[in-house]
Amino acid sequence: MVNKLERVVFALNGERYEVSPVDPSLTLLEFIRTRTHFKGPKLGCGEGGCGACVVLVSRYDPTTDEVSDVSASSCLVLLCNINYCSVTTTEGLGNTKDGHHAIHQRFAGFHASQCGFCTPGMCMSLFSSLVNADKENCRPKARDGFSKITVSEAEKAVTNNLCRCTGYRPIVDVSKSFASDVDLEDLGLNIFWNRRGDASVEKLPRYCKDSVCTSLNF
Amino acid sequence: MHRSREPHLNTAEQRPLATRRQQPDRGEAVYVDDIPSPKDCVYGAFIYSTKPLARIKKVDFKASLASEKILTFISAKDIPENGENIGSATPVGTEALFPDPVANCAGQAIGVVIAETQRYANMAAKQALVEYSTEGLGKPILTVEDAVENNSYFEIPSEYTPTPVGDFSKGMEEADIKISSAEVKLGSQYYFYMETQVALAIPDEDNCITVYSSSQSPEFTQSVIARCLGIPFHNVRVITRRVGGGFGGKGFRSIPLATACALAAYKLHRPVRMYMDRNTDMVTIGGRHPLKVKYDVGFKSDGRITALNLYVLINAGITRDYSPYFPRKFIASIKKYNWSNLSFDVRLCKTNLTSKSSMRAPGHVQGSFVADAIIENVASVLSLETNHVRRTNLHSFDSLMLFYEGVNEEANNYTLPSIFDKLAVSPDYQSRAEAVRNFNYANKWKKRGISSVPIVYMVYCNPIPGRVSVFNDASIVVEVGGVELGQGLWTKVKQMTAFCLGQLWEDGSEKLLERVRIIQADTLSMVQGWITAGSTTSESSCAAVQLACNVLVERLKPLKDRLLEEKGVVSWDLLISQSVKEYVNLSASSLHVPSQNSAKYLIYGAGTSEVEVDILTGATTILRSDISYDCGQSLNPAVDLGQAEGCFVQGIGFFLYEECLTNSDGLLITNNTWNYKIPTIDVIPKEFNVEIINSGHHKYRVLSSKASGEPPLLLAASVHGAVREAIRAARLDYFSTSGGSQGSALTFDMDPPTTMETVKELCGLDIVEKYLVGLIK
Repeated sequence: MVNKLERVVFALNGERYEVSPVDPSLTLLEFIRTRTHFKGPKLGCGEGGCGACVVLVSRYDPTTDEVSDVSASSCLVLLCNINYCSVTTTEGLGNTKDGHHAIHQRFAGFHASQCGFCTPGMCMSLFSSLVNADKENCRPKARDGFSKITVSEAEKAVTNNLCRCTGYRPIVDVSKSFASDVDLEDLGLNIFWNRRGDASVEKLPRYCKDSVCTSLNF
Repeated sequence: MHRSREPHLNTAEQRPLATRRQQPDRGEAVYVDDIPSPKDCVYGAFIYSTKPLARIKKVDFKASLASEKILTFISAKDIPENGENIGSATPVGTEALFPDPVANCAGQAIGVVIAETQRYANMAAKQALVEYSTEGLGKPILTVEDAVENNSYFEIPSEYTPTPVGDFSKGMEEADIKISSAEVKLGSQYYFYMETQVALAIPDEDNCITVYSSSQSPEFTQSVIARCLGIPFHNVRVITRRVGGGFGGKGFRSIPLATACALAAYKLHRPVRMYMDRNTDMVTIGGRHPLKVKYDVGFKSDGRITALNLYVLINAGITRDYSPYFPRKFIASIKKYNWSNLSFDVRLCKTNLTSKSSMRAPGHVQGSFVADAIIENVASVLSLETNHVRRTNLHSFDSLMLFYEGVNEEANNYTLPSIFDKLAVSPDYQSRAEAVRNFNYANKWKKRGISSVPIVYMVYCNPIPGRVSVFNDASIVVEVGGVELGQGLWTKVKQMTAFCLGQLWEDGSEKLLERVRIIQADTLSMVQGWITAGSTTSESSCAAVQLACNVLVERLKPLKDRLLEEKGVVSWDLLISQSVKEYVNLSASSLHVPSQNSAKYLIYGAGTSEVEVDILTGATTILRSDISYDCGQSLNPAVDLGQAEGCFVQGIGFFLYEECLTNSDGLLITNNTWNYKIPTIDVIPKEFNVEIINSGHHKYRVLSSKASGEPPLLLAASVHGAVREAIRAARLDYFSTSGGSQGSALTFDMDPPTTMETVKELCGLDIVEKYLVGLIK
């Protein structure tokens, strides 16, 4: 006897979505791009190999009373798998209307975006790494304006995202700029300071770890 | 840890203020597939031939659920009677849209399946059952050797034929040593733009059609669509706002999809969208030209080369496309060294493969690599240090002018020798080379290598139109022929607009930047848009905008002076509101046509890379790459830095990772992200230093700037060279333990891409066994 899932309820960038009946083969990416007004996640390969479709999927586990936040390639996530989950795309991270997230502003400021197609997925992969690092209570509190993530973790935050334009170096700089153990003077050309000696976190778009609510709140 | 050195920034001269680009990082930037589908929109997917030379007898579909989703199938029979079976056109030739009825290569689009969603269309395309017949058609030509055997070539038009230098036989007579019939082979590379080929066609009243296309050449797209449908050009509006990566693959290869999409929309009287899935894109859209070179070279015992002859077979695929331009670029890059006497026989082979097209630095990267392969061969025969041989054969200014006849250049602008010396001959380099040697002496299972590459890159400037207009609220809109691909074209054009109009602004042009908007390319709004290619479209677009702004300034300056006298201080807004009242024409158009003096110029650069190769696994780690790139006076250092780094990494892909393999029918089998590997973040140099050198003022270049979009790609050959050095060190060890000759250790073929498997093989697959045996002995 197979359990039939007759409807799926989830949040997408804080908006409630209910889908019924559910096409079992419908992917999250196709749903977002064809049934909602969000266009951030892109179709780059459709097989989980490029990261252009990465979104954040948050799930509440009642047994542990914890929310897990995972980055996922939405081209491979089936709608059926995200019942009662909360999905965040780059538009949920920040937009022209509600204000831009520090990640967006730093991508712009470090020239980490050229054609821009990989950027939404990059931002969400990085965001996912920051969220998970900051959740770890066993780590000491981060310096003001930084995340608990370390430089070596930050460097790995976007290993599953392909970029054909930038050569990745400025994207690595953006990721590292959030790290608790970064030396800001190591980072490359950006609009926030002119000389390496002037590098300081006050000049960077401020990172507040709880600025974006990723969990379901309805 | 990744580091990058700061580019030198301009200080003294009046420069356009650098601005950061409009960032589509919040997901709000609209690409073609983000445009909301109009009502009644349907979706299309290509079916392609899997046979290289076969008549298409019938196209049927399997009886399956997916097939039930098919609304219709568009093919050659649907081309209007007064139209043409045309899928693409370059200034040197056209090609058919669909086979009628013979398919000429595996990967050729046969027709379009139409369905209600893109997913259904893609699924339905896989249900196709194509009936082929090869009766009376002969054998397909798949390799350059087949082409030679069958005399299958494309002619190179005389105006694009490269010119030899000197007298090869005489040069050979002067040689102390000669190498004959050495071979170098290079494979293809796929663009892997993040956004695949895409178009959205919307039919309109009166036989008109609007096509949103991700294209580097809206103008050429418009002309092909119009000819295919048999309607005048002014009925076809092609719009390109931005392109999610082009790299040459959306110069001509985007036109067939846009045309097929337009044809479907025209036939069905409904909007049609086609967003190519990645596999189909990889299979049907060509890529770089594979080629084979056989050369004879003569040289003195001090390394000075006296003669070089090349026999070059270029695999151009099934249609002309960009290929006739390729030989000229290839030879131009070969000419970076002073060969004394240079002759060649270059052939464009016509084969039953997907048409190879321009891809970032087409011909240039291959020519530059072959030149260095020859130098390396010479150096290894003479047992001289390779960089020493490179330096010996760098041009003097006089020989440079001999080889690059017709290029306008001054001796003090020929910065290559000093750039190369600093990177590849300096004490700093020598100490690094020494450190590499010590490391190799002390380490058995990991070897390091260091290598350098100089480049001389010839660019051509494009004729590009521009229009600058001011609205009543004093906001400014700019249109240019150039298309934003991520190369920062809009950024530079915006800067140039603000810079030129800045003389009308009350206090410099900083605030003026915010008042400028660049809008999408639209072929009905702006004619003669040409193609965004060749690295020079940004500067040509800036030049066009400069011309248009100068006209506006001429019109507005007298008014401004008059107002200044009356009021003492005149704001931009006041100036414009008064201009509106006095009916001053606030829009100016231009067409920038490069003059004889500025139509082409040379770019110089050098790169040094150091790698570490793991002998046991074949994995390569790029420890450090240093690039020195002469960018003239950079219009925007941040943009040029981004181009240099991005280019270089794409080059790393070409030389180390990206391998295009085909089956016996010539169908691409490395056609997905699981078997075709472009560089990821962990592949880039651990230390990456890019120096954008600002060289002197130049009368004829746009604000003395130089292009940056393609040339740095060639410098990635330094990574390949460094891997070769590391492998050489490994083989010296290997052959010394196994008693082989040093000669066979040092000379080996290492055609790119040098994948892990290749490295392992070259280092000796039985290296561990040999070592253990050596221990026992």
